[in-house]
Amino acid sequence: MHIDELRLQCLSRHLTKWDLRSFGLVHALSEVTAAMPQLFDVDGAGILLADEEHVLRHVASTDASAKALESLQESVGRGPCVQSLVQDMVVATPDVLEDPRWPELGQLFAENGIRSILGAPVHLVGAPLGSLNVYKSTVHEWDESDHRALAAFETLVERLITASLALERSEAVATQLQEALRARIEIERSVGIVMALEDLDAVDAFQRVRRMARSARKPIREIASDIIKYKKIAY
Amino acid sequence: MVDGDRRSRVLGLLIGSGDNPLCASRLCEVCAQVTGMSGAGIMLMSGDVPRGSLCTTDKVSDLIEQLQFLLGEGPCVDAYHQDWPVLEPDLANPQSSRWPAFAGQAAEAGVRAVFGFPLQVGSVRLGALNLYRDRPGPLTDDQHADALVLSDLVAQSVLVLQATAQPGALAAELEEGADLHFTVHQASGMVSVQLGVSVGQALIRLRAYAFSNGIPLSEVAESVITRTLRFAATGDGSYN
Repeated sequence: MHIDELRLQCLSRHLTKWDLRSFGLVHALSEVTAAMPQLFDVDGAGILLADEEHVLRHVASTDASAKALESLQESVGRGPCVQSLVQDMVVATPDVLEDPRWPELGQLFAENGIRSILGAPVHLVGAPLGSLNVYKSTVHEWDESDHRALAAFETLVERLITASLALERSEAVATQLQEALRARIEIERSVGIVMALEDLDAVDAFQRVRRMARSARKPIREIASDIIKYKKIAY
Repeated sequence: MVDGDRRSRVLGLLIGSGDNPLCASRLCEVCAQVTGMSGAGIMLMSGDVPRGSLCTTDKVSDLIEQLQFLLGEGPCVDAYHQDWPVLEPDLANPQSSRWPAFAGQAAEAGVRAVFGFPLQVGSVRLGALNLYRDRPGPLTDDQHADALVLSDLVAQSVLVLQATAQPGALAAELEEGADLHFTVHQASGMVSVQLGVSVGQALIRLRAYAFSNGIPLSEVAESVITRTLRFAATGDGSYN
């Protein structure tokens, strides 16, 4: 497996221009795995990521074999990809039928067209979070260039995940800002209604709305939307 | 200039020095300065309508924002809805009359070219940046690229300001620094009681009154709140 450096650079540049907003992380990761067999001499690739309960979940795969590679390990809870995550190291299996570490998996892998596997951990802020895997349908001694190629892709995957998480955090604050703006305006509108109904000025009307919220033990925005809806002062 | 250099240059201006930290008012100044425009304004929007102005550099920028809030049309409104920059290099002689009410009044105030850039974070839209110039002409490629970098950084800066707020509340910097038309909303509430209509409809009546009488919406709102103007269920509004 010799990595095509130039094509990887092109892909990397293409990916940073990607709009993760519309594609979504999973889609982006699927595109990365789909690109791997085109750039390396492998038959397929896949990504497993740990969920919030630290269970590895299949996220992306190039084909049915790559999917089987992941789902078999997902169900058994063991295997080269699981180990690469747990031990935070690259794990190579030149021949699944000869690997003494996963005797129960060898035959199952082979039946699904998988003969050799290379798995590398995927990190998020330094800690292993998942595993990136490639397979071949033939016996293969993974060499130094294979390891380097996989590491290059691992970096790409990590960058995508980091960017996606940062975006998610920003989106949460942005959504919160939108809601706060809306709530703030509702409150002013309800203050206006109370001003007209009770013949109060803005300061007293606001105090009035706040007292209502306090005695009803409800957030002020809820009281405000009740006032706007019913145009009367309950509580 | 590559985008990275452009970004770090603008970031440096936005962040400022230690005794001059990031604040809402400087966002607009930096936008006008970097793009070489006559003025800039930042409009906050939510639920598809203008909510208010985070900052403006001058009276004309302020008018551009006020008109859009009043009329619901203009470069920021379009940039927000289309999710794409909106460019009008010659407002006095526009190629298409997309903003019939806005264009006349803005041109009268001296706006010759106006540009709107959406402010967006991921899939969430926050508003739009407007840039204007007192003479006609398109943006150069450099100015356009600067404006794109600026709108991205402005959106991020707004979030930095909001990130300190309690959940459900606006950050103090935004609450105090921005003109969110609180009196207009109070007046809408009052008029909705006076006319027996929804607050949304009351706001439309207020806008119509301001527009047809050529009075700024903020002044109409002030008159309602101080009870010098009262809307009656029969007419468009009458002074007591």
